Amino acid sequence: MSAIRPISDRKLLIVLTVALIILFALSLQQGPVALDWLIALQQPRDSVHGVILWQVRLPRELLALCVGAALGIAGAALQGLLRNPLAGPDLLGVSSCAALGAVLALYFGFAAVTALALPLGGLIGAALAAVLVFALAGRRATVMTLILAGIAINAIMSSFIALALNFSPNPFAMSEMMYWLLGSVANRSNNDLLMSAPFMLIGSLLLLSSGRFLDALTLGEDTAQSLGFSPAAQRKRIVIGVALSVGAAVAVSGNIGFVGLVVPHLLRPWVGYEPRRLLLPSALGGAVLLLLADIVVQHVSTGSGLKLGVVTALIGGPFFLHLIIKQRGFLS
Amino acid sequence: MNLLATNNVSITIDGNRILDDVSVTIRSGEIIGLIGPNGAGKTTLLRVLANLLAADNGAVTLDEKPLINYAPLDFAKCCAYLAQGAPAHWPLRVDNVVALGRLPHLDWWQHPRAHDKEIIERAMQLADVADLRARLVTTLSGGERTRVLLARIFASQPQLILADEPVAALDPYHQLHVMELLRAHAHDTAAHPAHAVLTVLHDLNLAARFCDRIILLAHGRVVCAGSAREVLTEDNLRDVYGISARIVDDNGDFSVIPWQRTR
Repeated sequence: MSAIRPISDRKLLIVLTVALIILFALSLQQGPVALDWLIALQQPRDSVHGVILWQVRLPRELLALCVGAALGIAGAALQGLLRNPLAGPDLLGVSSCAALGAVLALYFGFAAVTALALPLGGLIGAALAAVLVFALAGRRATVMTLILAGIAINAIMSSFIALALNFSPNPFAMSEMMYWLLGSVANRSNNDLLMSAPFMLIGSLLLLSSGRFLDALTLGEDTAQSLGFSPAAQRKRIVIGVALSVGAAVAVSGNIGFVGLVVPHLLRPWVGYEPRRLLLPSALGGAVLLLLADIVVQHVSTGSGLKLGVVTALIGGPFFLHLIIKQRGFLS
Repeated sequence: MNLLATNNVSITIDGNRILDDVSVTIRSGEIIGLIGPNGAGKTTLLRVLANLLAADNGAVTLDEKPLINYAPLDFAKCCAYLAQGAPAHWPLRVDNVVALGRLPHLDWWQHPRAHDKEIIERAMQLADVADLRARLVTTLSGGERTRVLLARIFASQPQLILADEPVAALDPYHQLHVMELLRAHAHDTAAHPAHAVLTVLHDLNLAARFCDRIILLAHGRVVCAGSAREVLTEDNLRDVYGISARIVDDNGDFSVIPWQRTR
């Protein structure tokens, strides 16, 4: 039995926001060049320190924040929709589709032509995934068909990614694809941020607006419908919200696992297991976790060696196991 | 007055005729027991009445007007549905579960106000779950959970309750308790507009004792509808259930003891 007692929404949101601000300020201090961002802020934007702050560190950390928030809220919404704490944002196949889009952009060399080809490829992949999920699951998609369609799409996309790696034109292209798949927010530009952030924002707002339905869904789909909701329309809203937020996140950052799984799981006892109250804290918590992981990445490796997705998996895996063991039998 | 009614409703699922030309009416002020053997179409009929399932043919009317004329939210305010097994998927606090009953009455930006909290409190008192308010719903016994979900329904302040086997798997004490609550809701003379209840039951004696009318369903058709004495006859029990039963009719106390299979 979990010993955590729920606390008020306001307290939880304040704690998470304060943590977010502190970590964001700290994260801007990180990097190979010793630089105080408070001082760099006062220097012209085209000075060396100004360029580092405005074109390297800010887009990187803002992207970490947005991606973390998108993954966190998508995980919370999907866990609510499937009424299963083991669901993650990669479940619908959106992330593997987005990853394939970006991998193909690398494979065919579009990414060498323009830096925008990578996120664009990812976004196209994500959009395709949303269409595919619905086509496969049909109009009267039950939750089970959605899951199975997601598994099928994941398998197909993974095989295409493997195919692209298999036939990669040269070892350099292959390592580029592999590294991209590992997940990172390093060396991202303001364009990456501007291209993906609106989708993540709209997707997150869609998910946030489905909170009441997720609450009602606690009592089962029939009861939710009898409370005046249309499960089909609400499911569609959540699938589109996940496709937008997760698709855009993967399109710019690659596969960053475990954030969307662990964060809602960790925060759930604090909101009394209420699906609606979990959404906003999960977005903030996801952003906090990813900023923290990115600070670790930059501390451990001075180059661009260690990838963010590797760190989240390294921390996330054992941590998740610990949670499961601690709460064993509680949710069964 | 007819509150909710089906007129010649039929449903075919995967080539099987689940409901065949079913016409039933629920009048205000009454509690109806819907009985029938397994697979008779009871749950399907209940889901049609609760607007969870659209009929292939025929019409469902609320206050003599077809259901299509009602917005889902307006129907939800009038008609509450208690699902079989009273499922609850997260370990929510009991008072938060009961508060879900207010969802149809609140717009998306609204939190429960003082008025709603009063209604939630009264619903918990009514279903006798106020003492359980701080418990987690997943840690309750079956009887307690059914009462909590009944409190959730009372919090919606519906005119009509449609319940699917609310007393299955409950011990006799809790069976009586839940049936009393349902009957009290249907017979609430202070209620305006008047209430009604339709509940699927397997226990013939509970149906006989608590329900004003019984509807007997078999193979998707209404075999018989009326008082316990009219419906629970030796012929009907033999034809529909395939059993012989000892029927005790003792100065108004009517009970049925299933005795032997006949086929």
